[in-house]
Amino acid sequence: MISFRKDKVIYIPVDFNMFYIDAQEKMDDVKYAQEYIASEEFVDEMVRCVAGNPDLTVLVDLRNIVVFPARAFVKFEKYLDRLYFCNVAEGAMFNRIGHELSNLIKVRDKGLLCIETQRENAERIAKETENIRNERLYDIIRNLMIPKSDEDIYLESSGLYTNYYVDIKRLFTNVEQLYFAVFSLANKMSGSIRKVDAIVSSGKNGAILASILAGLFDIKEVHIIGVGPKYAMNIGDSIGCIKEGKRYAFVFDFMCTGTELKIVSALVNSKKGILNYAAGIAKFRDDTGSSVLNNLDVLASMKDLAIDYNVFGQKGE
Amino acid sequence: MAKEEYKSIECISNMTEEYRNAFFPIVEAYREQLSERLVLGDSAYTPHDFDHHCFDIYKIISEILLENDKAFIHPYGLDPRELFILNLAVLFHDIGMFVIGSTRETHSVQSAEFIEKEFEDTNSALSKGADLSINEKKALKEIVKAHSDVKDGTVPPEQNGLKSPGLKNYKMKAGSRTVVRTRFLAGVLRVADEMDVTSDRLGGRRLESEISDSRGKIEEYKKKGEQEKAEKWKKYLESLVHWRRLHYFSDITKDKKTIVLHVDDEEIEKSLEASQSIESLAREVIGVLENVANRIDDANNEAFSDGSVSKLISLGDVTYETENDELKQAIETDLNFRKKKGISSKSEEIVEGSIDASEIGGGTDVVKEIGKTNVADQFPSVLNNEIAEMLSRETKGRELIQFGHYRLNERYCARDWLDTRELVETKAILNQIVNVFVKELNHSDKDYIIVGVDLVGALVAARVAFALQRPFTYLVSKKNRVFNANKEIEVSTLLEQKDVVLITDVIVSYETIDEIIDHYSIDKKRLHILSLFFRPSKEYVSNAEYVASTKSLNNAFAIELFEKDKCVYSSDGCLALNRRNTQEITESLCDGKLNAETKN
Repeated sequence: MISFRKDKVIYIPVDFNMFYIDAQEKMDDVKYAQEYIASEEFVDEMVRCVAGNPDLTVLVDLRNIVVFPARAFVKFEKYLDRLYFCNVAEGAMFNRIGHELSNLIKVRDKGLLCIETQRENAERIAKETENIRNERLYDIIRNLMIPKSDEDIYLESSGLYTNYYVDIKRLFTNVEQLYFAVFSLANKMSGSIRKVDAIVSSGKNGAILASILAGLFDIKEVHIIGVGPKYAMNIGDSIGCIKEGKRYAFVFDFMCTGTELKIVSALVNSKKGILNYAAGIAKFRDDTGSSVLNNLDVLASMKDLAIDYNVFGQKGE
Repeated sequence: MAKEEYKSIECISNMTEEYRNAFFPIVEAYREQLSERLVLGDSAYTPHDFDHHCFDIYKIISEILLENDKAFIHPYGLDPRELFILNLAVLFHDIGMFVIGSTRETHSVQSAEFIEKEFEDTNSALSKGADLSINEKKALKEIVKAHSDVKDGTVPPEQNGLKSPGLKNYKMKAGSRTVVRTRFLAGVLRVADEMDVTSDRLGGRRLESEISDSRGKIEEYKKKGEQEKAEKWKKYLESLVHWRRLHYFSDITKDKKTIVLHVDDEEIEKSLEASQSIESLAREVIGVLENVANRIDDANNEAFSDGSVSKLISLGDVTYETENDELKQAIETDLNFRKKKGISSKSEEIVEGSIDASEIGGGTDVVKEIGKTNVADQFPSVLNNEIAEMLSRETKGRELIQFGHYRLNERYCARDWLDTRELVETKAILNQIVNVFVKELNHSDKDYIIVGVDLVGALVAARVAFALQRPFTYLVSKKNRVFNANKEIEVSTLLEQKDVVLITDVIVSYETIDEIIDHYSIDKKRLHILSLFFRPSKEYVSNAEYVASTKSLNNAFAIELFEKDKCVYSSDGCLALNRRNTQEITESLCDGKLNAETKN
């Protein structure tokens, strides 16, 4: 079971766990879904986790969970004094938990179920749920940020210099972290990706992310390689697969100044395609890329990561 | 089709009452036999039934081929007995497909033999209904035999099809004409047969589910060890894929002399959504156009030029109509390219699939030859023969082998380059590739990291690793390092601690692999290699140690290599098409210029 610990709190993302377990069974056939079913085995694991950590508060995040095994919630009865069910969907799930665990109260505006004595903590817990989940993501991405050693780092796509390099390759070598990042990104993309015909990428890391996401969404992928001032791109062959009238989503690893987005957007437009969405792991600033696209999602910006990331035109500036 | 609907088609309704009364009972006696579907057998699935195929041919003959104001008007057009014989020929032309032991290659002969047997049987409906003289029976048989070339090599080309010496003007029993113009009638049947390319022929059937079911059957029989049945279903599958092209055309019409094939744009959109490329769809359309055009040319030359028939039929060019601009452009681009290269039309033969070159003794002639000269362990084992065949089909169908002059590595140049990018950008193909690799690695108990080589290798490795929930990374080959960010070239220290599964797209000489192993200090004893393609060559003997570590998906595309030092195109520095390293080109050009200036 995958859970995140922060101080005296354990946070269990049930949807992510079910996605991860599902992927183990389906392997290359795994697809992203917006709704998940919690399995009996997983519920038992959660109960064991709660039981095995008597000094900790447990947040069970039920976002995107639509079905729980029958009488499963009853297994948590002994631990309700330190247990919160968070992000519970209104309607059937909410009612069902309330029915099985009658001493739980519903804090509807927070999507939370807890016992009465914990009601005053509801707001804090709701925020904590989001914080822990986001912090986990931020930790994963921070781990990819390699500060410069001696020399400024040259950004080959834009020809600028920076004080950090985002080493996405590190993400690929840690399975759980990669899965969580990809799952989180897919969550953000799920609304917009329906309106897209294919995912387009540039650069190798972007292409890898794009390919994984294309597999999860069962959507076509197109890889435009060699974008940026360093590369002598052969226009004719690289963008042959961009089709007139088709809608594309640009997937990237890290967006610094948005140069690659601008180039890809121009290339797509030149073939009369439509670039209407972009998504990636991280970007420099909140407004990066906004001059090209309004609809752009990332897992984090440098501000979120509290990293003093800078870009300059010349070395040593 | 309504049971009696065929009777109103002009070439049938214009028969005299006597011949109509003879014809209808014969149709009723044999139409059911023609409607049986062959499920297994060498000819496999073929849409040759009366209610669709014969019906279509009658319509094509009446509405497109023959000049109605002349062809059915006696005595200017066809003699009533000629028309009767032609209609019988249409009815029986494919009955040979349903004869046990028949093959697609010789079905026209079997059809003629069937007719002969039926005439010998005095109780048969044909014998009773068709009061034909001996010569007229010969004429009927020859027309039927000539409607399709015999393709088993037993008939020389100069005597095949419309060139058959059997297509004489046989004396007629009665009528205004004294002879049956067999060559003309055979030409009409041949052309009409070729023109039946619309989805009407399938009668509303969709072949996709049958294709999917067939794949399931093949797997099932393979698992049971029933290879023969699996092989028969494979043939069936191949023919289903071949006939699927019928979905692409909704209608065929004639505009003055020009034959117009109407593309079914909805079907094209469906295929695009299923990730078929517009280029491959264009090729399918062009393939059909060319087949029809070739048939018409052949018939115009061999059968329609005689003075007595030239006014009865008038056929010119073949063209297409579509509202899909993208398809139009792809077709025009392909046609222009073929004109420039003088490429002749593709064969309509179903692609037989790749050869598993790990079985030495099978395979293409070149691969066989390489197998003879090299030892058996020069070929890595192929993981899945079905995937191997699929990759061969897709590679050929999408024309992914780019011909020209390419630099393979420091030592060798090659005549061609296999561009694998389109394969991994087509989700149906990528999914199959990933599936095979996942199955291969799933049961390994080793602690390994999956490593992709260059872009295509990295994409496949990422998908495989994600599916298996294994760590992965990618490496960049020497020739591509200049095009990658410096940080993209660096690699994790994980390679030192685990077995390494290298995934790459094409292996020719293993020099790239060797350089990568050396550059990144990979332990050869802990190395496993998976490749989409292994391309054997006569010029290069693979490192046996690497071959033993390699499994590939397809070994079928041999490659011809030239040592760079001896390459005739390299006298002033290699000018191979894939030399994208502008610095090198600039330097070599500068060298040339400086040398010229020095000389001057």
